[in-house]
Amino acid sequence: MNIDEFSCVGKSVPKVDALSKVLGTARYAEDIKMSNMLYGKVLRAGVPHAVIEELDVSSARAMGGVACVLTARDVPGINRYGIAFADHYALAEDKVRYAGDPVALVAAETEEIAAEAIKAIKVKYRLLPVVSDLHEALAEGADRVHDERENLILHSKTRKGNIQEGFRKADVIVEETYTTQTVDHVYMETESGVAHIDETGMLVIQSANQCPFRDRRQVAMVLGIRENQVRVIKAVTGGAFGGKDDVTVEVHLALLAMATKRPVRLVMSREESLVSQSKRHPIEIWSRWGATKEGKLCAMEGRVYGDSGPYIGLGAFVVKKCGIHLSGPYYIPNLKVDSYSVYTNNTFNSAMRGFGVTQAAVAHESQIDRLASKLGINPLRFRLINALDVGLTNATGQKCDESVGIKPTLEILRQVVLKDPELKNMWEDLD
Amino acid sequence: MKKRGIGIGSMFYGIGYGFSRQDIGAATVEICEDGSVIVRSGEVDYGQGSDTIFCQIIAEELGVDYAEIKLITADTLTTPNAGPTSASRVTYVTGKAMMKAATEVRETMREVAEEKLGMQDLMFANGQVFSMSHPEKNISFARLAKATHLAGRSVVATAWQDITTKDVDPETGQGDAYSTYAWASQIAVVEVDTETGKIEVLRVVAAHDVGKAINPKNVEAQIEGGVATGLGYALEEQILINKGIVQNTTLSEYMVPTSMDVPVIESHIVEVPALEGPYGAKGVGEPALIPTAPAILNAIANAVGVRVTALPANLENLHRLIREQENNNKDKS
Amino acid sequence: MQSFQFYSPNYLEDALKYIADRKQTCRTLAGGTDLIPMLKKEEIRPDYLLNINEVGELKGVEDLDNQVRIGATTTFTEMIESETLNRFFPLLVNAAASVGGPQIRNRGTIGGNVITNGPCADVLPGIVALDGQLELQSKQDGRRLVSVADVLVTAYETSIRSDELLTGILIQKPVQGTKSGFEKLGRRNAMAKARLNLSIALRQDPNGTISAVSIVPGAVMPVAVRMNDVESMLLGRKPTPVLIQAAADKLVEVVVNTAGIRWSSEYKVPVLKNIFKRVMWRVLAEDPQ
Repeated sequence: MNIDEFSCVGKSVPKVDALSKVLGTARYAEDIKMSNMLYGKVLRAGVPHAVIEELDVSSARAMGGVACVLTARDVPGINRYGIAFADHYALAEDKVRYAGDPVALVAAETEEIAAEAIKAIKVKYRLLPVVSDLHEALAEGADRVHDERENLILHSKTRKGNIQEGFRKADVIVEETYTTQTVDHVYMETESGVAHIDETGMLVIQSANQCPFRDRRQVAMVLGIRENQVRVIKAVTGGAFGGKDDVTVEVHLALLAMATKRPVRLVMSREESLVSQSKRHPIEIWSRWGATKEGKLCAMEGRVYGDSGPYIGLGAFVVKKCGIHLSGPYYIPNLKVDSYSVYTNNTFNSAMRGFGVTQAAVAHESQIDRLASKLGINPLRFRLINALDVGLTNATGQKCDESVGIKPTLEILRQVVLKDPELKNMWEDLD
Repeated sequence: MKKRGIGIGSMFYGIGYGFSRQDIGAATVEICEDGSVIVRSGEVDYGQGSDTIFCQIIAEELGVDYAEIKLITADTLTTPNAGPTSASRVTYVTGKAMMKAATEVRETMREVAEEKLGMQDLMFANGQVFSMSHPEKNISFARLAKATHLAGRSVVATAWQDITTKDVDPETGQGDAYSTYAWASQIAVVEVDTETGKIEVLRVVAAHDVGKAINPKNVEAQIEGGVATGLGYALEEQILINKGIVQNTTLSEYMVPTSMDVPVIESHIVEVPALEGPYGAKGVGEPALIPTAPAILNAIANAVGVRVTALPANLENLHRLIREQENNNKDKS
Repeated sequence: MQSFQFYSPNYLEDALKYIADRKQTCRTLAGGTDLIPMLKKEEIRPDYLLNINEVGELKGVEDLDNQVRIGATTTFTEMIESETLNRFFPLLVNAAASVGGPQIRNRGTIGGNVITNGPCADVLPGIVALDGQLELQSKQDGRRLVSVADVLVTAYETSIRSDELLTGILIQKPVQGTKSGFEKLGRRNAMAKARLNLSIALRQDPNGTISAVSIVPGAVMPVAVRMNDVESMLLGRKPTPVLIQAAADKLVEVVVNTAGIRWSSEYKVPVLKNIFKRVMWRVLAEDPQ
């Protein structure tokens, strides 16, 4: 296709939302005000693993200005949700599994009253051992995050070629364990939304989200109503990066609006967001890479341990995707990767921009550089030698048959370096 | 002492959900009697720019002005389910559904125009529909819209694009896991203060294969945002957790990069078209960030010879590694 | 945030009367960069809030005969832009420029930096290094001058009375030939609390002998304080690598003895040494002003 054939595609037209954002007229969920609106707030556990022995909301309910206080007992439908697997409690029942677990909800006439009511709720916890370390979580007889299930969520495998034979061909081998940390999405807008019952009796939720349809399915399940009785609208959303892929405020808003039959707004503070909302998985990756003295990759073996926290969310997929991508954009004839996603009582870890591949790349790119260094080959050149190309197969045996752009990206960077004396000076061995 | 180094990071990224997870985009295109256009899609634009991309695709397919399009998105009552905004799938999947829906409506309108103009070689461009061989045979898009309505023909089309793949084999992980892949490489230049462990990222050069840049400035914006995120990931961002309890709960303690920390970023767009994507486009949202941290880590190794294996490469961690290396060198000498 | 009565006088006299009547139940609002977050988190719940930003005599830098007066509500931005400060006290200008980001510097004040007395303060150590005096005023006692070092009790605590208002900071103009250096190390290049900072002022004889020196590290001690033991090691001697190394060792010894070994010492001790050595050498290499 010739670029001149296009009238609009390929042109840097202004973004349709640019003006409203620059002028401040874009209406985020927090900007939505409805008459008779209540303010919602969530009581978070504050302890990472405990049995709830007593939960007393009576004084909070009795406070002036408090419209409702809800606990797990007030959930009309199934008290569970989750995108892949419904293990996430709308409100904690007998126990809490991380410090951000929601225990009770309040809706009140003002935010201040809601905050006071939250403080008035009394919870007595019996603390349980905290499952915080990945390997301890997987050990025989480990304390369980979910009593009815093992801490291992999913073990996925990649097997290609013959790993022993592959390493026999290797002239150089590098082996290392890489660990990545937990990070937050830090969108400018924290999780927020407004819910109300419209004139037809339909529950309407306007929130910052990544998929209103998924939210609708999960809300309907928890409320025990049909999906056509729930309308989820994405309000103008100030960033998400995967952190608003799982349900954030929607289920709680729905419960409060249904219980009070009034509009309710819920806006998380940054602190609440950092403690209770999803994060990037910390992943531990062990891997061993082999290459021949000519600079050809011949074998790779890896083990990936991802900490998904107390609920699966999208965690099992994140860790599986990490494993599938652990080879990097290179042709490796023999490989073996095992990936494990694991429950712990740490933060709830789910989707974040890069979805496991961010962590995989830290490991494979470090290993590639170490091999290049051992072989005395420039790292960019080493990548060019091993980059996938049309006709080759990737880690899952999928044949690259279209849109394989790794070599062109490397070639562009090679040209940039060769033409720039400062860069060339740092990479004298690049030809 | 301050030492400079260069490093590179590359990546590939499976676009969409892959391994049998449902992955369907959708769009509905409706032409009003005056030729203005309403587009409905369940897809979410949370700032990344997909609403703009969609308008560009519709404008392209119908040959109308970009400002003629009213887009309604992400409302379960009024828009078709297009799946979530994630997995760098939106342009690739729902962008293609847009193209399909617009094409379907346009082809209906073409039939009406062919009857009216008596010509077959019609082109839709600049708000006009005209014969390529006899440009004087033409009708405005607006009048054709009215004519199509009057003819009782459908001016609404909904299209779906399904890129759901088969799952990989559970025992071997072998199979066609993803519909297509994005590719990228980035170079980082860093300066390491060996006395404090402080790292300054001086420059990032990014090259991304996006299949086709539907809006090049928006692609650059995605890359720049991604690099900033990757830089924070490499250097100072970390949720500190002690026995399950988050220790840093404010943004004065959880350190995202500021504009003073983000370097000059040069973006190079590579276009190796993806067969199933609109005009060959695939995604860039996640690929934008993935090579950055590895490029920085490799640049640190190039500058000072130490390899960070436990992220982040913050002041304390890097300083400790540099001291360990100094001590090792002393032991050897 | 708890509700409070807000008072915004134009005259110092009114401000002093207001706090004299209310004492501990009243807090003073200058830039608000520390106070407002504390109010929001309800770490403090004052009944009264006195806004001193409208009091004219508290604002701006004055060049007096042999000293400079910096009004308490002079912002960091105003300090950076002050010709007088750039001429006489580049140390304070550099310190002010390292605070937060532009928005914080537009709001935050030198008086607030002193009164908050945070261990990570950026400008306060410079004031201590320059032997600054605080001008305190109250309805009861009128005006009094105290050495800044004398009021810094411990982190976030000063001995300034609750009926007193800090109205200005007075610093003697430096003796001809005084040089200074400042360095701040943060986790990022803006909006970062100091992991460490260091303020140094010194003078050398024509033959190179150190004739005056003042050293104040920040973010390692409970309060900003001059390192007398280190200074006395350097005084009257010519700088040599051995001497500067010994001074660096002494500096961290004093810090560890005062502040104790903390989790951060493993990093801060060697890095403080490094920063001290390089700031010292940088200052020593500079031509006197």
